[in-house]
Amino acid sequence: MKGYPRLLTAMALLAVVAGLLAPAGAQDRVLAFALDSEAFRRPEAEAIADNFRALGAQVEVRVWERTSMIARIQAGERLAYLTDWGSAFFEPFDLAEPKFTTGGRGNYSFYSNKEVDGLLVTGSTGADNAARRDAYFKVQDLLFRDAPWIFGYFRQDTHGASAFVENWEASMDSRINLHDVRLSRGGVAVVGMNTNAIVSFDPAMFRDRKTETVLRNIFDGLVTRTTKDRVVMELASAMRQVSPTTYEFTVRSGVVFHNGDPLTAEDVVFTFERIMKDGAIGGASSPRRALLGPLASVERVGDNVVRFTLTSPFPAFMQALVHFQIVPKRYIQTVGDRAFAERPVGAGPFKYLAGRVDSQIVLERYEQYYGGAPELPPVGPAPLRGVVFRMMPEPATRVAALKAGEVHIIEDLPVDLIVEIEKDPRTEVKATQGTRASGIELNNARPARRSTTRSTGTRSSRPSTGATPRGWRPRSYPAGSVTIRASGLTPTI
Amino acid sequence: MRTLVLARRILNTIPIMLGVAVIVFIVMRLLPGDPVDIMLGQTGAVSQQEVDRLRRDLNLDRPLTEQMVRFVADAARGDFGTSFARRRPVFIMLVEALPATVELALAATVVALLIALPIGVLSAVYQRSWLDRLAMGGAFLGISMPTFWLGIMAIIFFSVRLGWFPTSGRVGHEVLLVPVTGFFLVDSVLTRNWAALGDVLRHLALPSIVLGASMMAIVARVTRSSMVEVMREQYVTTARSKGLTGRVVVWRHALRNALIPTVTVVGLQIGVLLGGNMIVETVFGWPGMGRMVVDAIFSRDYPVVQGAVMLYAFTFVLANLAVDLCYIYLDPRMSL
Repeated sequence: MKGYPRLLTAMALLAVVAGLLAPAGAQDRVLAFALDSEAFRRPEAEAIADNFRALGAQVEVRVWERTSMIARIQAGERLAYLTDWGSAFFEPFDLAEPKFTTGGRGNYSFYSNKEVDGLLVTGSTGADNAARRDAYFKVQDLLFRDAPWIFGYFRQDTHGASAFVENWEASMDSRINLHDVRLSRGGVAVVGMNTNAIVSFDPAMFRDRKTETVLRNIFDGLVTRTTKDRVVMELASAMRQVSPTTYEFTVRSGVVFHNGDPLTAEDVVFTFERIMKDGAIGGASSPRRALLGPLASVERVGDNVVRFTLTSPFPAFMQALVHFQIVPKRYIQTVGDRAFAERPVGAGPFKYLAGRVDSQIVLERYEQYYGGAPELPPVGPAPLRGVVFRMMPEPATRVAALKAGEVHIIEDLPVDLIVEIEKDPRTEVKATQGTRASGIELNNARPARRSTTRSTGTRSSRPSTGATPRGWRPRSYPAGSVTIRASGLTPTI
Repeated sequence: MRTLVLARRILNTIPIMLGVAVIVFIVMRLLPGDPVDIMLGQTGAVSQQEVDRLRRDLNLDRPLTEQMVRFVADAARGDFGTSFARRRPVFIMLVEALPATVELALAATVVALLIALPIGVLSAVYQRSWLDRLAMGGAFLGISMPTFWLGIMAIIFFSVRLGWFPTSGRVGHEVLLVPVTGFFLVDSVLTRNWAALGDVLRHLALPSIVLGASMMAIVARVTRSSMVEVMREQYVTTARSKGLTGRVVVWRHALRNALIPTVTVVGLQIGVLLGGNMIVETVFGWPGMGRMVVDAIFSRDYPVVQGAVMLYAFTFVLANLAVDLCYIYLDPRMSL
């Protein structure tokens, strides 16, 4: 007890001294801030911090668990943070809009510009493509001028594959389509997934890409996408856009679900109504509703024609439809939603044989498959006899399993193991441009700390902004594994 | 009488579990992060309407106190709620994931005891010999090596280099094992699928050795020190002077008395193995509870974390009870 008063006095003295010193330090103010990052981007954050330090700034890297970091960012407590945002629509609709619209769901920089807001609405709801394009280019100019972030890059999506795998390339939307794949040895392809578990076998009950990768091999959609960004017909044989808000799809005839039920326009209507209606899935609502944008109704208008009516034009609609898989109405109504999610039945190239969402999922070739998208050869039943998806959350284990020949394709090759896979003649790296934009977002709503000793609260300014230095690359990434772009928008838009 | 005491001990776990669950309930909600926001991911736009709808669906729009009261009342009735992310009853998810975890923990315990007990005893009998030094050096290594590193090394050496064991998973897809109980060793015997039995054992080998490594080390050291002490007791001298062989003295007279500290350690370690094997489950792609809980924590899937922690509390209490029962067997002077 005796020591406490002395300790308190010492602390008080220290505080006084620090307070006295502060004004002297303030004359020599330096830009000082913490750079927040998730653990997997730490090397990159350190490299960036080094660059800042070389310019005389005091930057400290802080590593966070993702969700906690996002929560603190959303609360406005952080200043500069390494973040990323994925797009699956190949449109600024789900990239620029959430990131730059005032109050947008992903607008972690608290950027606000009324002109940008208006232009983004024109871009995502305009019926005239030229006008949309103009709007987006204007947004790009404004963003360059305002520079609310330090724009980064699209990291390449890198996967690993065995040398036995033929006719497979990594896809930009990170789905792994196994219908077209062949193996030069063996007939069952095993895929090592980078996840603990997929969310569900029900195509209406998930919102993540890993689940979609598995489900897309069991279920087909009206349309699908090439490994790049082009949308092609799949279960629909034709599409007619009657007006900017009306689309009519002709459903392919002769398609049969895995349980023998024919696939009809009724199933298509059921699939979408199940997602749009509240509580339609055993009392629960689908988390996929908003992906359909302003879709108001889906109805059968002929024997095999389905009409989609929107409340306003939604140019990303075709891109959105790629992510919806058609489910069998009669089967679900007979067995119930829960049983369907335990034993899925689709019309895709492989049918469910056994397995659980958290361990391994075994699929076998569906012999009566109608063939898939005519524009994605080969057309017909899958060359593979079966497919196994194994949940392997640890990257080192995935790489070991690939090298040991246990698996044929592995998701998400960590950058530091790329060289190892490249060197091995039995394995190869499959990479494609990713759609996840990475950058350093800056808190535009809060002034930066300008003093090394304490917050002065005098003149305030954001940390320096601008495009990424030319030729700069995160130190730990091998050449070619990242694509540096000065903007968060792809040139194809 | 003993049954009554046992029943009371088991019933006593209920308030402990509920207490633990309430603490977890509060701690999970103190964690930053919104489960609905995580669920909706990044793809596409999300309307406020959709966020509100999901929040209502998951009862997250209710006041916290109401949520807690509802949760405790449901849990007391054995209803652990429904997973936010997977929309399945938590109870079913736990029942499905538990066998994988228990099977691995038991296998690790068996491996650890089979190796550690003889080592501990021999080290004590041949104290300060080269065998003792080697064994205790090994035990020191076993305690010091991080499980993650040991796991990856084992995979690289035994699976990739030598090809003896599979890198991960519980069973190969080729052997077509039909799950009955969820304990794959039992299932392969029940369905007389001998190919599957071999395959399951091969899959179990590496994770159980890696998971059991630290237990092995601790048990060997504890057994040794306790044996060293017991060997100095007068009854051991008496047994020797009666003309019993060294083997009988060591294994029948000394070991039984020396096992009490070992049993305590094993009991606690089994609890640790059941609850703390997230790393081994992740490295070896083992679909057990540890991985499920980690996943649930990251996605703020409150009901799953709450249910799992209650189960962990229950297993710890049960393991303690088992330890007490072992004491009575080893030393009849003790009682519950």
